Amino acid sequence: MKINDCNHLKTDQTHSLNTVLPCRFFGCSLLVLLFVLVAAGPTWAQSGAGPINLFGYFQTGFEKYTSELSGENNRTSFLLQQANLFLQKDLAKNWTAFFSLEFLNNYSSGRRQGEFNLDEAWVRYRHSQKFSVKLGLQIPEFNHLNTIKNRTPLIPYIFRPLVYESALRETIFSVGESEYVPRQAFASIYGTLPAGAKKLDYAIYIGNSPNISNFEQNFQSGIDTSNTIMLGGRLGLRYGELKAGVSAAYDEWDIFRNFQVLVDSIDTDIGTLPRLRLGADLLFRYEKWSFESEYIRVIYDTDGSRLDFSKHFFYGNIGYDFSERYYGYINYGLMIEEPVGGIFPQPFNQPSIFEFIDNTDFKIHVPNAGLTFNPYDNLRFKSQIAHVRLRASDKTIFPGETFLVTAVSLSVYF
Amino acid sequence: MLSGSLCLWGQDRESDQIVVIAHEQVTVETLSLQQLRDFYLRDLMSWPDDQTIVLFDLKPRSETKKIFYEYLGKSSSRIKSIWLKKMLSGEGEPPEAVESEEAMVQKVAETPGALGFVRRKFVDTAVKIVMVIETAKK
Repeated sequence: MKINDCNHLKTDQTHSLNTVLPCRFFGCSLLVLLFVLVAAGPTWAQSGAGPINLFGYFQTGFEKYTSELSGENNRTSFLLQQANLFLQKDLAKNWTAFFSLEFLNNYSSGRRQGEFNLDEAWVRYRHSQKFSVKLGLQIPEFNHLNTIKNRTPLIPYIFRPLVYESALRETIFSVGESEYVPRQAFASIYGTLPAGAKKLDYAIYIGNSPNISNFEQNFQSGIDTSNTIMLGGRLGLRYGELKAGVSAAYDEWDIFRNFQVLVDSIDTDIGTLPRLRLGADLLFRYEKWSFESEYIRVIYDTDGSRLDFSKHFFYGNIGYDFSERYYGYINYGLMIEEPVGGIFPQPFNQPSIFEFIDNTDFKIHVPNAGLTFNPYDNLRFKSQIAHVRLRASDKTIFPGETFLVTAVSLSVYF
Repeated sequence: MLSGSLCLWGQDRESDQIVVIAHEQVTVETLSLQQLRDFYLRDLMSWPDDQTIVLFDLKPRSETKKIFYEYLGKSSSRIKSIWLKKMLSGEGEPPEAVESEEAMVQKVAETPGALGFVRRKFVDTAVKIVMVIETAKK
C-alpha cells in the first residue's frame, strides 16, 4: 500500500444512528437486568443448574504526581480506581454463564467522569480439561497479564505495567494501551493438554478489529465498521513453578480514521492497516522469590511506505514474599515507539492532527517498586512508587518529561 | 510390655497420618500426587467418570492443613491466589472451607463427588481413603 495511491482503500464511514440508545437509558436497563437476575435466581431450578454467585472487588486509594521537568501536571487525587461486579451461574452440567461490570476512575455519569464498561458477558461449555468453548464478550488470552490486568486483588500493582494501565492517560497522552494488547474477543476455544507434570495451555479467539469512530461528540455504535476481524491466540507451557508462553493477534486497524492526514499537502484516506501483535511471557517462582516478565511487539504492514509505527514494550518484575502477609517487588517497564508520524491531540474535542516526524523515536521508562500487606485474605493494602521518564530522540520535537508517582491503595474483594 | 508399647506407639503415629478422603461412591480407589494437585489447583474439575469434583478445605489454621498444603508443594497464600484467580475468571470456585476435621468427614460423606483431607483418626466407614500423605515426600 503506497501512501500516495490509496483511493482504492477508501472505507465507507457511514454510521447509522437509528439504533442509538441514550447512555442513561442503557445504564438503567443494565441495573434493572441485574436486579431481575439476582431476584429470580433461586426460582430457576434446573437439572445441573446452580445458584447465582455474586461477587466483586474494588480498589481505592490516593495518588500524587510530581512533575520534575516541566513543573506542569502536578496533582494529587483520591480515587476509586476500580470496582468490578460479577455474576456467575452454572446453567447446566458443563455450562456456565459469566457477567462482569466495571467502574473505573471515580466513575460518575452525572459528573461525566471515569468509565463504566460492560467488561465480560459470556457462556462457556466445558467439554473437558482439554477443550472448552467460550462465546460472548470476553477478555482474550494474550501474554500473562491481559486476562487479570483488572483483577486488582490478584496483582500487587496500583499502577500496572504501562500497556495495561489506563489511569495515566491524562498524563501520558501518547500511551495507546489498546494498541498493544487485544481488549475484547467474542469467541474462543481453549484448554490444557496434560503431559505428566507438564501442561500445555492453548487458546484461539476471534473478535472485532477496533474500527470504531473516535469522535467523542458523536455517539459511537460500538460496531466494527470494517469487514475485518481480529484473530489471535496463546500457546503456553506450565511446569512446576515455571510458566511461559507466546501470543499473537492479527487484525486491521483504520488508524487514520477521523484524523486529517496531510501528505505533501494532499488529503488522503489511507484506510485500514494490517497489524500484528506478538507477545511472550515468562514467570517462575523459587521459594519466596518470584519473577515475571513480558515482551510485546506491534508491527504495522505499511507496504514500505514512510509510515512505520512499530512499537515495543517490555516489563520485568522481581518479587519476594517476606511472609504470608507481606510482599515486596521491584519492577521496570520500557515502552519504545518508533513513529515516523505523530498523532497530536487538539483541545476541545477537535480531531487530532497527524504530522510526520522523521527519525524520531519515543521512549517511556518506568522503574518502580511497591509493598503489599494482607491483614486478611480478602483485604490488601498496596503502596507503590514509580519514576516515569518520557524521552524523544529529537528534543526539539518533544523536550521530555519526568514524573514521580506515589500511591497507596486498598484492595477489597467480597 | 515393651512390644505392647511399641504397638500402641505405632497406632498413635498411624492415627495422626493425614489421609485424603472421598465420597464412598467415587469410582477412583487411589489418587496420585499429580492428580491431587490437579484437583486442588482446579486444573481438573471432574472425576474420570465425569462426575463433578466437590472440594473441601479446612478453615482454621492447623497442622493438618499446613502439612496438606506442603504436600501439594504450594504455600497457603499461593494456593489461595490460584483459587481466587479461577473464581474471578469464571473458571472455578474455591473449595468450601469447613470448621473442623469432624465436619470435613461429615461433608465428604454426604456430598457426591466430594474430596477432602483429615487425620486418619477422624475417618469412619462413611468415606473412603484414596491417598495416604507421606510427609517426607513432595
